[in-house]
Amino acid sequence: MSKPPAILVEGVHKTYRLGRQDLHVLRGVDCTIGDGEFVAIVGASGSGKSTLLHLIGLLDRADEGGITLDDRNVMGLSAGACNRMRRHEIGFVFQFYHLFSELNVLDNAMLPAMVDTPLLNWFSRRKKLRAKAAGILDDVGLGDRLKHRPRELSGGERQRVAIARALMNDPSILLADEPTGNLDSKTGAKIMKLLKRCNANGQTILMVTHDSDIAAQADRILHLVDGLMMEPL
Amino acid sequence: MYKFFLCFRYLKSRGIAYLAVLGVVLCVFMMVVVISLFTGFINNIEKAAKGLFGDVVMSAEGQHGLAYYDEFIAEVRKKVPEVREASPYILSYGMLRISGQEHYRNPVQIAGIRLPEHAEVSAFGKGLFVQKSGKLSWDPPVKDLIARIEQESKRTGELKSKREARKFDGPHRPLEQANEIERIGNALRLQEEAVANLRNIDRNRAELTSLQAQLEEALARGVGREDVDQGRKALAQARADNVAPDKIEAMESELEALEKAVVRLETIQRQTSYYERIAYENPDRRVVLGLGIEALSFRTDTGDVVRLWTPGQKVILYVFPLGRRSMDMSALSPEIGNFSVIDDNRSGVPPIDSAFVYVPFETLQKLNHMEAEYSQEDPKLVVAPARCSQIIFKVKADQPTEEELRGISRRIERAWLGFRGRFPGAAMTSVSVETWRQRQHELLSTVEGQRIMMIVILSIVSMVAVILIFVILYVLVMQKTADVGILKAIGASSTGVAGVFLLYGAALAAVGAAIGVILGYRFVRNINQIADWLATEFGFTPFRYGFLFDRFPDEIQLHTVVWVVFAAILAGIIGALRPAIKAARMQPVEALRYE
Repeated sequence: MSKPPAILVEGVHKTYRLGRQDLHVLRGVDCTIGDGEFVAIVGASGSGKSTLLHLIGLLDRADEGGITLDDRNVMGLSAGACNRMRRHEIGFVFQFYHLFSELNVLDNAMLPAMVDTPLLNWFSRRKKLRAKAAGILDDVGLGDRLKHRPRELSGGERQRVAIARALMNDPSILLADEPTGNLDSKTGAKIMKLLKRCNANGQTILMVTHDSDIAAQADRILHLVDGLMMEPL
Repeated sequence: MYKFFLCFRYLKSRGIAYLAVLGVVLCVFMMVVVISLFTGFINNIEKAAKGLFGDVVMSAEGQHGLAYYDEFIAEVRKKVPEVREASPYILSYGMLRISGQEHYRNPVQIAGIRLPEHAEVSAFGKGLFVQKSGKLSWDPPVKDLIARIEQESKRTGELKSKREARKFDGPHRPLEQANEIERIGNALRLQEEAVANLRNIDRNRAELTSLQAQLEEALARGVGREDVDQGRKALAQARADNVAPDKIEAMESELEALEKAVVRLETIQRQTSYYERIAYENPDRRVVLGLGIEALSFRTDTGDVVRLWTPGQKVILYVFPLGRRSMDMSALSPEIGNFSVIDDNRSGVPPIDSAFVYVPFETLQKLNHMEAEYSQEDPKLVVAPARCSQIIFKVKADQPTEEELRGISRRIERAWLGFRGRFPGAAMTSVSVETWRQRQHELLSTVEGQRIMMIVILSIVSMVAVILIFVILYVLVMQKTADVGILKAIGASSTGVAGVFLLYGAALAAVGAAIGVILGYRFVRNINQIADWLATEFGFTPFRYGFLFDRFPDEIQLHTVVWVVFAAILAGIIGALRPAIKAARMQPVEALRYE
């Protein structure tokens, strides 16, 4: 028996209300992303790429259709169950890094573990988690910047901290929203290399981008046009 | 875990957070200072009000007063064992004049009290200046007077140099400053003179005592002018009868010795009366002034008391004999008495201290026409008994509650009902028994009104703190919108996100409260030094103590601190509530889009 797909999207619709107008962003999107795949979604600006990513990441709810993550239907999940899924199964990487400026590199990377650990358990686990975060940061090449604040880092370094943060709770799915959108091509290439390494380690990666060169580095490319998924040519 | 962690980090690194902390610091500081001072003032007033009239007071309506008071006190002691001490008291009205000061006339209330009894039923003894300890009397040892007035003149001297050293006295009041220094100088001179006089009196007293002993001895021997006259007559008779010359010689020498003894006796008597006159009036004519009677003491603008009276100072009291039995107002001519000042008293209640003088009970009884009246035919037959205005009771319990006191009042009333049956003339008007609280109702209700006003004002202050924290946290949540998005994206729950901001509000308030309490504590503990320093260095006297107390109360009650800290933290949480709810309700997608 073959492994179930990591992400299964079936007939998903999403409409936003902008003032008096309804904006039908997704009009019945279907797609399947296999376990351990590295898939890029490309499309023009406003085509609904990020919206799809947010629905898959449980940051928003679809109006219609079904989403299954790791063989689990997530459409009817309670808020608490969604939170748990986000903590354990999904890692996010954003275009604008979204790091906490008050925290240093190590603490930023460790934040998901903190969110996942109750206060009473924190003191017994702290050392282990700290070592784990330091290990991941070392992996992404920031072993010597643990105590730095985000403002002391370059864009590429910041994105690497964001990736380390996304990896902290060992999620099976990594969702990346324009991870190189704010970086020059050289730095973007480094980030792609890092993502591919994650993929090689077994993580399913779904990446949204409008840059076809970046998308070309993925295993598979999905085209989203006006809220509909186009078959690959 | 992350709630505490983020809250701590936010606290450490946010400029705007310091502003919130500063706001809370100021609010808490103000609350601690105002509540401590106000509570101190109120406690002082209550204590003073309680000290004025013991625990329970019995009085008769009008000026006729209560008769057979000593008998009734004896009865109360028997029937109401809770009563520890009781003392009769007379209140009358009159005018005070100072010997040698033509222009000075001051209306006063005159209290007739028994010493040391009155000090047992009230706080009178604690407010005395000369008689700080020991058994109180109307005739304190002269040595005590000397010691106190010496201390006082030293203090006045220090005050004078401090006043002269004041660097800055405000640009508009040079005359006032000069006047004050001059008045302190006068007081100092009077006090120094008084010390010299008292030393003199002390020496004279020693001689007086020995003279009095000699006088008594001579009187005991029974010699007098008549003996000399009789001796002369006997001698003349003996000469006429041609008695033997040796016998006449013996009679002559005996007569000479007798004459010498008599002359000496007369000299002693003259000297004794002279010394008595220069030393003191008799102990019945002593007066204790309320510390606040005009022209006998004054306060500097820094609240220090300067005494202008000195022991032995002569004053004249005009007493209106309001206790006269048949009151004919048109015939109300004052009784006049000369008194020597021996002490002053501060009750702590300004209207009392500026209006009351205290004289011996029996003396005022006579001046106020409340003494016993005797039959003209039989001078031993009492026609009308002696009377007092009030009887003051002190109970045995140390801190009796108002309820306990009311119970005791009722029992005294019952005792009075029985007593009245046996002594029908004990009171001519209706009698009431009241606790000190009932008696001081007016004063205490004013204080209570002020307490309520303070609570209202402080509540407004607390509202300001709440609004401040609210605004700051609101701004902070707006700034941290993206953080809220991230937190939700990595799986933080809505309550968790709200918790971060609630904790943050509480932490801001707690830090501010801690600093505010420390500052407030230090300020209140040193408030008198601060006020002195402001007055000496800058002539700045923002708190003209004027009338209430000469020092600020500098006690801080633990429950005040606990209450204020608790209120501040609560204010922080309430202020953070709305922003926290806003953060919790924020959609992560919207939050992430926010840049």
